[in-house]
Amino acid sequence: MRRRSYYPYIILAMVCGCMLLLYAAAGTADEEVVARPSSPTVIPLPQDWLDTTPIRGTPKLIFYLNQFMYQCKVCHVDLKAPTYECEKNLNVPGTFHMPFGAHKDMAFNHGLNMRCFNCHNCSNLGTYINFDGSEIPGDKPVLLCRKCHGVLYRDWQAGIHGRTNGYWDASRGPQIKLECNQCHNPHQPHFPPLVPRPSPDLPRTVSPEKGSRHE
Amino acid sequence: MSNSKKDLPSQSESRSLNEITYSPLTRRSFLKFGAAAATAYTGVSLALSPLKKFQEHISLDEFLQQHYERLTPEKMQKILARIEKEIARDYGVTPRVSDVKPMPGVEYAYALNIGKCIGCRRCVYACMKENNTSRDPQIQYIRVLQLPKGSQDVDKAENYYQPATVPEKDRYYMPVQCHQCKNAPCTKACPIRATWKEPDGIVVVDYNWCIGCRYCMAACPYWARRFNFSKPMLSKEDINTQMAYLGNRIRPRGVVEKCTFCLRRVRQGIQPACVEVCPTGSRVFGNLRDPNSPINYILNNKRVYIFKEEAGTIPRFYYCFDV
Repeated sequence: MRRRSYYPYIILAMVCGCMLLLYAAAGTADEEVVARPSSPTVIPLPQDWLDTTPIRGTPKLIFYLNQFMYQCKVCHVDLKAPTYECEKNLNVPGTFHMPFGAHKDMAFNHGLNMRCFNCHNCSNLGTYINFDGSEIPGDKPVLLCRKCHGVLYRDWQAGIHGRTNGYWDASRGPQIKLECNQCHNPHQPHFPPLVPRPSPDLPRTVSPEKGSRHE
Repeated sequence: MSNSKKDLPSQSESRSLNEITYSPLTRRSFLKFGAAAATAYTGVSLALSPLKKFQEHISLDEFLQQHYERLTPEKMQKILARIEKEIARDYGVTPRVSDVKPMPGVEYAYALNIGKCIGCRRCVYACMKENNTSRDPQIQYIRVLQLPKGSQDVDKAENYYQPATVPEKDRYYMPVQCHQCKNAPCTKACPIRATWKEPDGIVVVDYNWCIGCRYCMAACPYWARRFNFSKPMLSKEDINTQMAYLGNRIRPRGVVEKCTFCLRRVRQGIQPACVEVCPTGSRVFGNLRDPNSPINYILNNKRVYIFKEEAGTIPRFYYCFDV
């Protein structure tokens, strides 16, 4: 007579169940994980590295853009504006007549354009002057620069000279278009050299002394 | 002789066979079997124990997650909530992870004026900040190459330059990042479609689908892809909490990442971070399908060249210069 015992099967089933439980425990239960430290050792990037203020975004310029600019009239109401004789020596330091140290911090390097009144309006010093003698408002330097830099003005209008912040499409949101004097100093318009940000970390396989590379 | 022995089993053998077949559960056999089962259990559990450690990197939900393109919105919401929870757990911030979809009728393109770029690397760090790339080990999407004037030979390029001021004499600068190619070799190299082109032209990576084989890195002619060799290290105050699933969320370990044209920003209409920070205005970004966009003005009116054009990748990233 054959008597079949079920105990081995029960034990086998129990073992399988235990294995399954173990496997499930390995997969789920993410609440039980011990929180890992949130990497406190890494030095954050300095905040001013992400600054989007234009390169000439000095307080002085911001004053100027808000029309709190130096009012030329304040000094020049009685004092005569410099004449052509003064202007001749504009790029020779010390010879240019600067009463009370006015305009002393200026350096002039604008190519052949070395005459104050090519741009400034001598009869109304807060404004600029056009070729035909008409006034250009002091808060619209773009209109002044286009007198000579027509190609760049065209590019600027098309949105490809100078930076555009905000939305990439004007129909989707506000755009901030920088104007000429927010990046260029009109008296020395060449873009100034800048201090570069640090170079990338060397790969760990490269020693800084040897500077070794593949090949 | 030998045959007859085989044919006729001895009495002892047949009895043992009998015992095996009919044995009732005796104390001895129970103990025997119990000991064997306990050994088997211990062995199997030891063999499976690495799974417990594995769980630190990947949860069961993540393991069973579907491919991005097969996810329903409800599933996506669950996944985003899970990712937010994981980032909050690991980095101590409360991020907002969203799944921004491409805009209809928009295809992005990018132009960089190498005549204006002075190599100041401001774009590199603005990109790191926006995209939450690892600070240690450092991951940067933009590589600024310094080249001698009159040469386009990238073998002569230097990207570890560190002078007091830039630009240096007789050098020009060429930042290289992902070109979001129309004929992208990286997406073809991927064996599991973890990286693909979106309708707006951006090549994206599903970081939960990526297996980290790095075939795409080998395929890319622009060295634009980066690999997370370890878990990204960022300090709490440095994390950009506005994150996108396919874009700038903090990546897990062992996956490939790349520039996405700041997908989170541009799909909301905002300029990429590198464009916004460039002091020289060398970078122009826009919609290729809009005939009045600045990018189309450049392509129509400027001298444009394509980096490694012979690779046939048809990039969306153009280098231009004024003449």
